[in-house]
Amino acid sequence: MPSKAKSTSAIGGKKSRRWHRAVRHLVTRAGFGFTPEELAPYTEISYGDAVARLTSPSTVDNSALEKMLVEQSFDFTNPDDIKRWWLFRMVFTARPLEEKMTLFWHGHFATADYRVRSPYAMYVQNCTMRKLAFGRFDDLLLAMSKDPAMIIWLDNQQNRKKKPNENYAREVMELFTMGIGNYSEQDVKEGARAFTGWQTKPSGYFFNSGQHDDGVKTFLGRSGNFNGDDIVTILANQKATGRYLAHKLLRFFALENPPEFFVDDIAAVYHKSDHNIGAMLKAIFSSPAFASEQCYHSLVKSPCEYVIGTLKTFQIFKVDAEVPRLMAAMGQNLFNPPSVKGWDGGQSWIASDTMMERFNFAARIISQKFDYLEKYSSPAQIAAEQGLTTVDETVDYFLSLLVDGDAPTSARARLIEYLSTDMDGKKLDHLPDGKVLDARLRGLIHLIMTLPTYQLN
Amino acid sequence: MAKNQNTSSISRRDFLAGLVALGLLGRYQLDGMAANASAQVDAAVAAGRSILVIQLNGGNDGINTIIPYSNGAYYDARPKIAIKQTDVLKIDDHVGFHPALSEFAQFYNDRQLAVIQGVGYPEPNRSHFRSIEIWQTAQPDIIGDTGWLGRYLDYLSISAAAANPNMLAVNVDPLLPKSLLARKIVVPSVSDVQAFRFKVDPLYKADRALQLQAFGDIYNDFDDRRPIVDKLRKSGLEANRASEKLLDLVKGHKTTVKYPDGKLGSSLKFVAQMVSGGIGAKVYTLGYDGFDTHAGELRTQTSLLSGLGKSLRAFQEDLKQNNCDDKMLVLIFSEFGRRVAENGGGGTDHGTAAPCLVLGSGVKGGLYGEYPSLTSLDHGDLNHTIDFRTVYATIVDRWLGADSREVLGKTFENLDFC
Repeated sequence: MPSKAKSTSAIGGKKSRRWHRAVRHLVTRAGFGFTPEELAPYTEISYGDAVARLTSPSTVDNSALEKMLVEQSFDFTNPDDIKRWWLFRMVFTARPLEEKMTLFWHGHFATADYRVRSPYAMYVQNCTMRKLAFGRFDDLLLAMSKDPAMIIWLDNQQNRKKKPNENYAREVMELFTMGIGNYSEQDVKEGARAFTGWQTKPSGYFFNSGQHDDGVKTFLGRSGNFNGDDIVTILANQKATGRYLAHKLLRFFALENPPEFFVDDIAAVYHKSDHNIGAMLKAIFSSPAFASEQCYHSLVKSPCEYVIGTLKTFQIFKVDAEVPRLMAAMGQNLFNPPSVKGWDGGQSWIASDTMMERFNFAARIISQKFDYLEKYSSPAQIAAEQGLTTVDETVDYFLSLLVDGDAPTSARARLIEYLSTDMDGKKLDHLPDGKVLDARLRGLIHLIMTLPTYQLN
Repeated sequence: MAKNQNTSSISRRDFLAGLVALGLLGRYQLDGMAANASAQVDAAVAAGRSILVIQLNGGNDGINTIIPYSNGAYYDARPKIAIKQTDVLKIDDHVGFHPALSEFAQFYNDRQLAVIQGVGYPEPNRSHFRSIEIWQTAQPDIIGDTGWLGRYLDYLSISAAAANPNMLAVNVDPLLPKSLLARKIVVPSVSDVQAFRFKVDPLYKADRALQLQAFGDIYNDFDDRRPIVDKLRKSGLEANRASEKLLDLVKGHKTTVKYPDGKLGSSLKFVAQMVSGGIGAKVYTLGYDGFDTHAGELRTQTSLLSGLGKSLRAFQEDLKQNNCDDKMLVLIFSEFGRRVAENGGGGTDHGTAAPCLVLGSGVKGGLYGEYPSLTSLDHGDLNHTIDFRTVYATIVDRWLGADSREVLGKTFENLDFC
């Protein structure tokens, strides 16, 4: 565990520029971007208290969100509604890390509605993940092993005494706990036997004792009349599981290729804390490595982060059905991960067409009118509110707002050149006004949102 | 750090390419092969041949694709999901196609389809993700960081004829498969060509040219030492370059063929548009999902195979109308086959060897290799009879006219299918 003194020195003294940047980095990584109002409470407390607030969501009042959700009267049997419901939570929650962790678990215990074919079961699974997101891993793993959507997704419904189905037993070891290379094909077969009879009915999980194999199984070197509960306990106790979860959490929250020592530290926290996920998160966010230069702006934003973060930055509180569709085009279709491995994340978000989708989302969000959508935002109004009067000031303000100033001088110079031309491409020696200013500001923001660094968190 | 990595991992090919440029090779004739490699690649590129690699995601059940219908062990192992003898579309006295593959049976009769039996690799891995990685990197013994197609593209990029190295391949899927990871080349992924265009505020359409110019300038000069920033920079530039080119091509395409609805049909149509439009790419890739049939296999596989056959029939006709069917070879594979015995849910669990299918007017159709034994098994799974790299080597050497040693690291025998 890193000492407190050490982490403070990496972040800098309270209220220094460095400290402010560290807090922005923390809130960005632990959530989906922020509005000024959302950031404010974290800048009034110490960095340690900010970490504590984020990692103990149950201590933060979220009744405003719950009230808003009730007013929306979502239909949880509708595949589009469950997506909008979740996006609403991401945009309006007072507990950003709670939603971020739910997304983490959705990618970890990746289940897809294209096979489950029950939005309601997907919704129930999502609620279970949220409820157990910060607790003891064993509880979440057991809940997922009994989760109706999961049982359908990985065919455990067909896992019967006389003819076991190996699908769940394999993935629970390969993807949910230890990772590949830590078990044998025989363990897969024996594990499948232990999960026989774990089925689902319309009313939920049920144990079909007639289909359960209660013979002796030999699993990871131990023998006994194991049930799925025993398998869950054995798996959660494996050294490999601690490392696997530590590595995955670090990839999601800190660094795409986390150094060995960082993985070791966080895996140690897993075992010391009796498998407590909240404790692992606290350790990650408090570590000097998290606050380091290598970590800052090093992760490619997921489509969720890209889209929700943009909505928050421009305070566009409009979550229509178009938003999840656009995220899907960028490669992240909520409730429909591409496979049981979830989204690979990191650099795999980058491809030509997904980049183009990002560029076009930026154009759409900052257009006065786009297709049939209403006006989304008014950059000229932002500029007036901020009292921006010169070309340089304007470019610097938006570079700071959108990429935290992370752009080379050549890019800044070229943006200044763009902003000080009229619609015919003729050079101006001042900030344009009227309709030209409106067009230029929208173009400027679009261009900044296409910068490589805007794709980074 | 990144620089050191590049330096230490420089390939023999790169090294020799450097020598050619310096005019040194005359004195260092290392093995003769390198001296004419560039000319050889030029010739292959000029021949205009390309390949399309279709990955059946999830592990297609090979035993119910090419069916050993005269073998009693097949019916013993699969009481629920065996295909009835009378329904099998027979190839010979031993094996035949799944009834949903009537188009493939026709391709076979027209001698355009090679069925390569029992393809796999030693010590098979039954994880979807590791096995996909092995097929895509063609490196079963290490976790490779380049793909077999990527290494072929790197090899090609030494050629003068490959003038536009960034359109040497197109991935028609949202995610780039590991097979296309290369050292020198960024392969564009385009799954929906109509959406693949840099848009601006429709109220200020005239601004598009100015924005694109600014975008290009900013991206070209975006000097940053972080590798991730550079990767984003290259992908963004490539996106805009590929977009302009592809949209032009698609507009010029003419066909009377109706493709089946759905993603596979539209993806294949897009490939046909690129091929007939003369984009000059050597490699196209796409994935076809849904083959992980642990339960309810009969229905799922029937519908998937039927879609595959109908879509490829349309694709072949489209290419023929545009006089480029003899320039295209289609390779169809899956990360593994499935267990010989069915499981309790009318499905099958992860297995090992399975057939590869190779389709094209220029392919020498027929049955290749030996069907693996259904009784002499390894933990209930088939023992492979042909290494998958043999299939790759044949395609690289014979169809693409390149040198498979550069792609696969060693020599594999060639089959006779092209």
